[in-house]
Amino acid sequence: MPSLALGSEKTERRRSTRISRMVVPVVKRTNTRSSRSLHLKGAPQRQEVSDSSASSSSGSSDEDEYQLTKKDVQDEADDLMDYKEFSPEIDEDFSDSPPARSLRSRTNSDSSDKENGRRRTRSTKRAANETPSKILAEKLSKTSLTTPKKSSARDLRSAKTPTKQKNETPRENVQKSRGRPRKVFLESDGDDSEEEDVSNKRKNQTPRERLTMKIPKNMIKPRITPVVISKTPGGTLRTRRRMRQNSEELDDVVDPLDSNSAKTLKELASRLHLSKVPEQLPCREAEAREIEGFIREVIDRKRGESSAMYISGVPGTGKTATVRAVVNAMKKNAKCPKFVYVEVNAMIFKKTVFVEIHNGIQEEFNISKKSQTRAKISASTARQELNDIFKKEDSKRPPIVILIDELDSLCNRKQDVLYDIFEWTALPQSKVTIIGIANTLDFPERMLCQRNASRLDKRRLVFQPYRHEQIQEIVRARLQGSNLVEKKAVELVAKKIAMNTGDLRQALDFLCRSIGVAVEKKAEKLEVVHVLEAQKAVLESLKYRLVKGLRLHQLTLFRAVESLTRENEEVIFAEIYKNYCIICSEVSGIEPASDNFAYGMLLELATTSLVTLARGDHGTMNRRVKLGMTTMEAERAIKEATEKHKSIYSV
Amino acid sequence: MLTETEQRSVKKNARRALDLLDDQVFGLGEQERQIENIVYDFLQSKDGKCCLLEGERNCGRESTVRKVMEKYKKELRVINAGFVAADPNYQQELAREEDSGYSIFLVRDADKLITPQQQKILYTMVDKATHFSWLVFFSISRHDFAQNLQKQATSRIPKVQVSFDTTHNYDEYCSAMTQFLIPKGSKCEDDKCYKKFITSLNFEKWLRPVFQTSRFVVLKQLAAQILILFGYYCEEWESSEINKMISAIVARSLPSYNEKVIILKDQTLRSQCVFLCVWKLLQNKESDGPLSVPKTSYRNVFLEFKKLVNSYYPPLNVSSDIFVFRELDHLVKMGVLKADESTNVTNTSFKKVWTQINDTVVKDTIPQLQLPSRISDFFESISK
Repeated sequence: MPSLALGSEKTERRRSTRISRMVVPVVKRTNTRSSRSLHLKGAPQRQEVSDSSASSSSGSSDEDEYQLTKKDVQDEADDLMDYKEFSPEIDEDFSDSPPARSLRSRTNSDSSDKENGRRRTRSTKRAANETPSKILAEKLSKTSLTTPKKSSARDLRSAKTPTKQKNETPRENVQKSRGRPRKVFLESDGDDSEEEDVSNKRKNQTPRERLTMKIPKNMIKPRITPVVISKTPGGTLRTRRRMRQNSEELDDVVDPLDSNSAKTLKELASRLHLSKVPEQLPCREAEAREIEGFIREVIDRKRGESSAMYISGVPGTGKTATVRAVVNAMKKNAKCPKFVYVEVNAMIFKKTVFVEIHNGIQEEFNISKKSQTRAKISASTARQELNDIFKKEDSKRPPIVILIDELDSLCNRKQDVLYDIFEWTALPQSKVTIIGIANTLDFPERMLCQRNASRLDKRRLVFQPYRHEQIQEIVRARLQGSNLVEKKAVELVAKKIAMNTGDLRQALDFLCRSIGVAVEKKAEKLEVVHVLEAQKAVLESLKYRLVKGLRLHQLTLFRAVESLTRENEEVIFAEIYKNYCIICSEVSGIEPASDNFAYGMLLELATTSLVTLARGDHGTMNRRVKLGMTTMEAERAIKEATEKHKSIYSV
Repeated sequence: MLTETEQRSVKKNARRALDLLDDQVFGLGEQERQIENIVYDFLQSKDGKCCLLEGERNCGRESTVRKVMEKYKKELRVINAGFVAADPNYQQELAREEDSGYSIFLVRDADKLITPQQQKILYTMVDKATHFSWLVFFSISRHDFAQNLQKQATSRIPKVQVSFDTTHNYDEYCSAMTQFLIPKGSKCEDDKCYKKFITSLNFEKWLRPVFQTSRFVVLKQLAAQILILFGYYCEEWESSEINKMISAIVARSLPSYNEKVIILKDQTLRSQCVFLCVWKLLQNKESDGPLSVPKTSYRNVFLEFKKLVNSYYPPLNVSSDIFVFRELDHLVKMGVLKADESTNVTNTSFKKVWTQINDTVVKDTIPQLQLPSRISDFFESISK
């Protein structure tokens, strides 16, 4: 059940998507074409126009549709009643609408454009010789229109019950977004009158209405939002951009480099968040210059030609961020020639990489002549279309730069996907440039066949892992001016990370965790102690903690496995059980569990991968078991666990 | 023996306690606090975040997260990694999902996402959590989870973790049981009669073996069964009867509980004798290799069975080996024996067979089987 209690913008938005989904059957009856158009999320306005033209041309088919049975007439009348009753939901003042307007004319109404004027007159004319359903509908609409304004507004309010929402038409949705008459809107405020109206209303209700149960708002459980999956696929950058726009609308984004914004450690942690990438990336100036030079070269109006670049580097070294920053700067620069930039993460959109590229380009420049909506295009069509488009020379088409992140995940045995993509760069007329990003330095040589590797050979760029000074500089840039963080704390984090991976993501995460520790300790400044504590928290490996948490019998069984696997890597359960019984009776002094129970415990150990079980069905006694860690680690874990168990089990 | 009013009071309170049992989480206060901090920070800053919930299965992760969500009146989107891993389109759907305000996810059994094919889902989730306002909790149990991740995922998964490995002593275990049966802050606490009745159960005496093998989850299941018994089904209120019923409930959770022995006890005399023949043959037999248990063939079992019935119990005699083979097949089906079912065994007589029950357990079971005294004596003498 939809929640009505929430009034935030987000809920409104979500509700509207829900409504637009629910209304389909109602619309179908009035106009099949328009109902189809509703599924396409792309451009509702455009669909409306085409809708009117379609309805004018296919008048006869409309007539056929209206040859309804008696039952249908009744249904339609009911629908109309519902429609009347629920109209307040969209806050429309129906007293202003012309009485002769039929349901159809209203659903099609669009006060803003010319089309509507025409449509309205047409529907008025048609009203004279309507089908029975229309006549009945008209009568009903008249009666409802003659009722006092206030009661209609009340009716409207009561229609907010979740069951009713289903009857809302998509057209109402459109109307909802348009200007609403103030008066009704104001009157509809306040929920108290809702319940007292029920008895009055009941008299005027249709049988169907009466059957519908009214549930007080407070009894309606908050609705669990369904997984709303947009039909529109979106690449990483595009969704990010959209998201940023949305967030800018809602509230001002805190500039990560604004030193005045952070007064507490928590705010500071927010500044270190990975999503808050500064516009200019420190310590990557040379790489940024090289990328910019490369892009400028390929988008040059006179000399520019298709090319490819391969960027490699370990995770968290700013590969993608640098390219994004360069492109953003170039896009903002008015002097820079126009170009289309598309970004696809091949790991996320592995199967639909061509669709993503196609839609990405389409968003900025109309490449496809067919009026195919973005969501509809299939992977193979997109691939074919892109291949065709790039083969032809088009002087109007701006140069296209495609960034493919995690390029290595597109590598399959045939390498046909990569070949197609790199083939574009081989065509001089295509003006397509590929920037591929992956982790491995020698990916082209190692993984790609010659024809693909040679295309990537033209330009290479390697992002070295960050050194500790660089990490410090980057962190300092993010924390600029803030004196809440001790310099030595940052230095310690930077050195620790630089020593291991040089991954900036990990460094920032480490700092955030340290800040978390500091906040927990109610410290005002981040100190070295907090960093050490944060490190300590993740230092103890999960395996030791898991072994420590084992119950007495499970630990004994684990000991049995450990002692047997010292000599042989694999043992069978029969042996383990024998050993377990011995340890139980001789060492722990407890009654051993039955073999069946012990096998259950072994399976439990396997779920945490403390032991690994071999596959194949050879019976429980023949089940082969391996230790899930090295014997040394197991020994240490057991030692620690026994210490702990001494106090718990007094064994 | 309880009076009728006392019985009514116990029934009423047991039902009350049963209703409250679902929401009771014991011994996870620290974890709850940590999760609450994370959720609070997330709701404040709306910065996407991932968090690992580490611990064994059934250690109360989801209950704790749900409890916190309830407190903040927020929705929790639960993704079952096991199902998702089987659905090839899910990753695509997830990838296309747009940012709708903020979302809090819980990925159950996230261990299943560590296979190279499934890491795409993990990557997508983590990547989205960086850019969107997503708070994702990954429930993980395997200690090698982090080691099996690909480089890209390792870099993106933050090390924020909540550890659910708690240890507790016997007193805490018993007090948890008391809390399950008499929920704190409920009306059950005020009822002296009910409290007295629960105390009279003396579970401190018989709960120790359960404590040595199981966590709170088993305790909660036990409490539920006991409350169902008192709330709905108990008709005999004699203390001895009650103790009997409770011990029947608890027996299933005890380490000594053995389903296979119960199955064996349920078999016909011929089946039991066939099983014991297999056991006798395997007693002093050397195994074929280091990684297998000793095995015998159907034919040998038949010969052994013949020997047994001819010398000790002729009424059990069979006219053909097929009867013994059928018994063996039946025991294999019941799970007490295991036979070599590979296709290359063409002659049933040479089919290998071995027991699924440990021989010491069988030894202990022989006196409990209702065998004719001569057969019983014969096998008992062997076991000695």
